[in-house]
Amino acid sequence: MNKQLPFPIISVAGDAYQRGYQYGSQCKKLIAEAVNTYHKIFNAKPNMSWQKALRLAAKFTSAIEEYDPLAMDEMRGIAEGAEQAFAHILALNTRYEFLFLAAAEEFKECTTLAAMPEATSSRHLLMAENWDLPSTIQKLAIILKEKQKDGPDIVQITEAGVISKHGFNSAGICILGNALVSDGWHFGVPKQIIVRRILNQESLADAIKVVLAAKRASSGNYMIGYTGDDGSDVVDIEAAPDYYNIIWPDNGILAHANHFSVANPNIKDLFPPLDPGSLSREHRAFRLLAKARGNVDINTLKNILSDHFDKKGPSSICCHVDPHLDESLQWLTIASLVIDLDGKTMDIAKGPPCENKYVARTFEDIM
Amino acid sequence: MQQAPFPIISVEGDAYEIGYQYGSQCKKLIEEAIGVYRKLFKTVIGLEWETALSSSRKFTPSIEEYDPAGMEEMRGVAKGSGQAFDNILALNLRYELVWLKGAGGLGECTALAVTPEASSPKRMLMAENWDLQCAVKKLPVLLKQKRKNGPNVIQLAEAGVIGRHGFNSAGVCVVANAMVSDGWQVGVPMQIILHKILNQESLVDAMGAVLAAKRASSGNYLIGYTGSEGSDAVDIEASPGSYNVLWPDNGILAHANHFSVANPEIKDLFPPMDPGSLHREHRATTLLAKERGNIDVDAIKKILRNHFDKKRAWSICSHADPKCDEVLEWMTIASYIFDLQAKTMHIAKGPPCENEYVALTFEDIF
Repeated sequence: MNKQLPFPIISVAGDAYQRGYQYGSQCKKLIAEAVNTYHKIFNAKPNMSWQKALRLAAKFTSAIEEYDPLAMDEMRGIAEGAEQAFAHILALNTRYEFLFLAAAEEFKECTTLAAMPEATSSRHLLMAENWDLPSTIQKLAIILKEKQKDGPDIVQITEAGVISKHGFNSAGICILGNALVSDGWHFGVPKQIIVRRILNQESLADAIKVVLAAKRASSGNYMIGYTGDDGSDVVDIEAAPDYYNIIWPDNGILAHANHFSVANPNIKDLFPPLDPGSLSREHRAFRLLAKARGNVDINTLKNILSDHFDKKGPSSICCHVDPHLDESLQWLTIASLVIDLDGKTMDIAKGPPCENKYVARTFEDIM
Repeated sequence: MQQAPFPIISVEGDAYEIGYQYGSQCKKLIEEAIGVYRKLFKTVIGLEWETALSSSRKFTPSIEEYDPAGMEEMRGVAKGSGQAFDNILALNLRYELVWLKGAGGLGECTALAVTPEASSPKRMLMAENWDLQCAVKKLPVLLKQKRKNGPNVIQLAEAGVIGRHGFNSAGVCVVANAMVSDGWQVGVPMQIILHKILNQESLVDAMGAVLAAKRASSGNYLIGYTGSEGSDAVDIEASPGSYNVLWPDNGILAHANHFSVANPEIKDLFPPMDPGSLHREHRATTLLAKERGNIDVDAIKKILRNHFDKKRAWSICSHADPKCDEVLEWMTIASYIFDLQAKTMHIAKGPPCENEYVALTFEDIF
């Protein structure tokens, strides 16, 4: 338990603006680096540039302000604390929309897992994810712990300057996500803002509502778990801007990658032709979970997250860079995490888990 | 090794070289293939060979962009066999040319996959009855390709065709079925997609070869893979503009010629022409499910010899009516089972109920 967590820990407390300000001032250097990194990433894309991202990001503000004014306050606080223009912080928080809107080349992406108490040996709800991104982003990752004045405490892993990603809260809510790419993207509420609002919820139904009621800008997969006095459950929402599919665990297990698993005539899935690996990652993860059904434990999930069915390359669950590609196209598992919602613990590894040890922490320890 | 029931053509080198050697070793058979398809096009769909050639030429830019090595190989085949390039191109487009006109099938293929969890011994097994017009039976060759740029390949194809059913030294195997839907267009033909699949070294890359193509036609691609981390099979029901992905059901998968997944973007035109597809697939699945956990090569042979719909064209083991014309009547022209771990192909010529399988191994190139 005393091994150091593999990412910097940022602790903040207070109302939205205060937390943002503390986040910004503690992460000043890393946020400047994040701005530089995305500046480079966007400028390298044929249809995108940092200047264009700043311009486009501004068009999301009214939708965000209406949907989640606290998120706006938090981002304003970050900008102030980090001494960055607000537009820069906004662009970091809408980078998902720009990264995939501009994506014409191949990309890889995350794999998420859930095992319900009925499928685990400890009868705990377990959720896990390999967070896969271009390798240059790994240095930006931080663990953010938030004591909120008006809401549950939160532990999450995210990129410096970004207000949400994967995490869980003191009310028993956990959110993991995957990129999904479909047609129909428009100005609206960015994915990161929706995820942030999920982390403020205290029940599964409220968390579901936050996704369904949003005027979504983009597509994305939201895997939401909840543990409370009356039991546990997990739901997966495959959301496109204007439509969605709901998936519940199959006899206690669920796996998701980056394609729409439910055929929906209103959604044109653009991901598999760019990365057919999503299809095999999800299938492989589900099959490995099914094999262990009833006896799934934290180690089972770590083993699945270390799987290399498609070789030790970028298309496996455990994602390694393809050194033949240009650096901007080198995808990598930048972090791997297993969350036990009933045990309130998080196991986290930096980099591909086949070659990096997980460090375990309880929610209280981190807080 | 027992005598193979089809001629084995061994070639080696880069794309052009393996094409050239293929062409020069199969000169007579390629000429015969052109004769068979000239007659078949004319009789079945009223298509003149010259018209077929000019239609084929429209596909070259798509092929060149998608699979330049495939173009090189076809150029080599043309040169080696002394045929005009267009004749070779038309052979490699015969699937699109025939079905575009809605040929009205009387049979067509049945494909099977069994993953190690359902087999005994634990093997990745892939199998197919390759059903076609009787006149085509004399054309297939076993192509043994030692490739300079990519894995070595064993495949069974009609003389002059560069991509069909086979497996490679990287553990990838593909078998396929005709599927007929609306929306066909000028694009990448099915045989060229099969050619590219057999050049891949992982399941994901093989899937990518299907999904990323601007597909000309519909087709079913059943792809198997075995590697150090395990085995799996995936089935892609592809139309030009959409697709469905199917995974084995507890280790087994059978496919015939209709879309098994309802997809609002695909209008399936096959079952009304050949309702046999519906029950062949169902029958094959039922027989596989009965043996789940104990499936071996012999169990698959038995399924491929099934005559549920009597001893005629619509059974899994497909028989022609001898009274009919050889370009109109369909039959199982070859039946084969790939054992991906043993790197062995069991193959019979003609309906397997009356023809023994021969086991062929390829240690020298695998």
